[in-house]
Amino acid sequence: MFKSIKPLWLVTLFLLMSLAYPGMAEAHEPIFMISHEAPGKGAFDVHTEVTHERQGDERELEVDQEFTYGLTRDLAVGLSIPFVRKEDTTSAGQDVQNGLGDPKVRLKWRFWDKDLPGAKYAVAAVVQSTIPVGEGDRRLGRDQPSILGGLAHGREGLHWYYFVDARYLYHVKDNDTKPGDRFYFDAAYGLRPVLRGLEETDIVYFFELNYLHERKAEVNGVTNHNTGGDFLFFSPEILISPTNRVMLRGGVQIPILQSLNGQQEPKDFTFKGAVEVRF
Amino acid sequence: MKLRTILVCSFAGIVFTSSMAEAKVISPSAEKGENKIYIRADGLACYFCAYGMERFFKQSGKIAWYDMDMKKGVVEVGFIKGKPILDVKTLKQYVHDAGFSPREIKAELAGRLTQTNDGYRFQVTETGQSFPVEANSVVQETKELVGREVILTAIAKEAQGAPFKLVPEVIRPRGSVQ
Repeated sequence: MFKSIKPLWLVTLFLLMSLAYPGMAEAHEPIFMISHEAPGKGAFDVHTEVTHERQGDERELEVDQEFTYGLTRDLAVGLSIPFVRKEDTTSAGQDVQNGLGDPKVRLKWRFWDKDLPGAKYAVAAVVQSTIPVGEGDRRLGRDQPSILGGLAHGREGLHWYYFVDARYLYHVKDNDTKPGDRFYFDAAYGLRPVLRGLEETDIVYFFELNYLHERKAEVNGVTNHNTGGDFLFFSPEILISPTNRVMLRGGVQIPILQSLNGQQEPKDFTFKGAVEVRF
Repeated sequence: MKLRTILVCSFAGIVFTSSMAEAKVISPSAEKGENKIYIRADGLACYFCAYGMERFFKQSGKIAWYDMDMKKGVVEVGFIKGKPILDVKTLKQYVHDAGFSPREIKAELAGRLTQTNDGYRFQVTETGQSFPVEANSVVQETKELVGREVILTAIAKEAQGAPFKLVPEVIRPRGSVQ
């Protein structure tokens, strides 16, 4: 089914799906990290995110459809369903694969917050696991789960924000094959130059610094020394809320320092765009 | 017209033609009443984040419109004509469940101040609800308005046996300029 649908149409379909449900993400959350924000009790967010990554001759386009529900004021659950397109250009030609990636379930618990006039400080813990769909007919997943755990802290204010997070992504070994586990550490500063009124377009700019330590991968039980490394990225982004129920987000992750293990292509820019609709 | 052009124009339209209205009407078919509540809350920093309150206001079926002043941290709520005024506990719960910290609640109500054996009470004209009123200096200074139609601005405090108790700040004749 997916081979016959061009990527642009797939992206358009999901963006339109999101806009068709007025009034169901994570608000002012930087796009390449996690945050402490929770949507509130009974809130339902529908969130469509498109990510384009490239490393050497490999490109990946992922369209994530995410649903988040606020169980309580401080506890939220989320389900994310990714559709993936992978392109690998070799001397033999271009290999293209489309299919369903591993869905993810996420739990976020904001266990501390402090509210002040015009500002909110909070800390949250996040746990996420993939639901393995395997690899095969229109499926581009794994046979074992990948589990992420992290902590996020931040401040939201009328004119400026800050966020920091630390996350660890652990891949369960899958038939002697294991992608490199990852450690992330991120920091972001956000700026709202103009405070507008209710129902007026709200614009916030974020500037992220993202550090990634990726361990070496294993293939058939043998460590691949040409994988993994340390990376530092700078990510500028913009968040636009034309109403208090819709948010448009877009950003680019720019590699600024890369310490690669062995022989491998450096990472290229990553582009990400998202639409969130809140019910 | 190419699809890409349609998408770009739609995006631009959404971003640049959003309403400039100050308050948000959430019950467009309902008649707006005279009574208002002002909720001061901490943690308010963005309208998207505060949408949760709007959901609760809609679900109550009693609120016609609302507005937010982020700088002052105040949410102004207007009731549907004839619908009962919500109690302090419920309003604070809405704010709390949306993810913020409710502080003070004030009411601006149209009705009649009356004196009973137990003290003063305020009867809201549109809803018929009656609330106890603290006999503070504001009441003493405006005793000539007892029994007349007035606009009462008061702090609303939780009270046993009533949606709230009113602590007057301003009492003025209905129809007078504020």
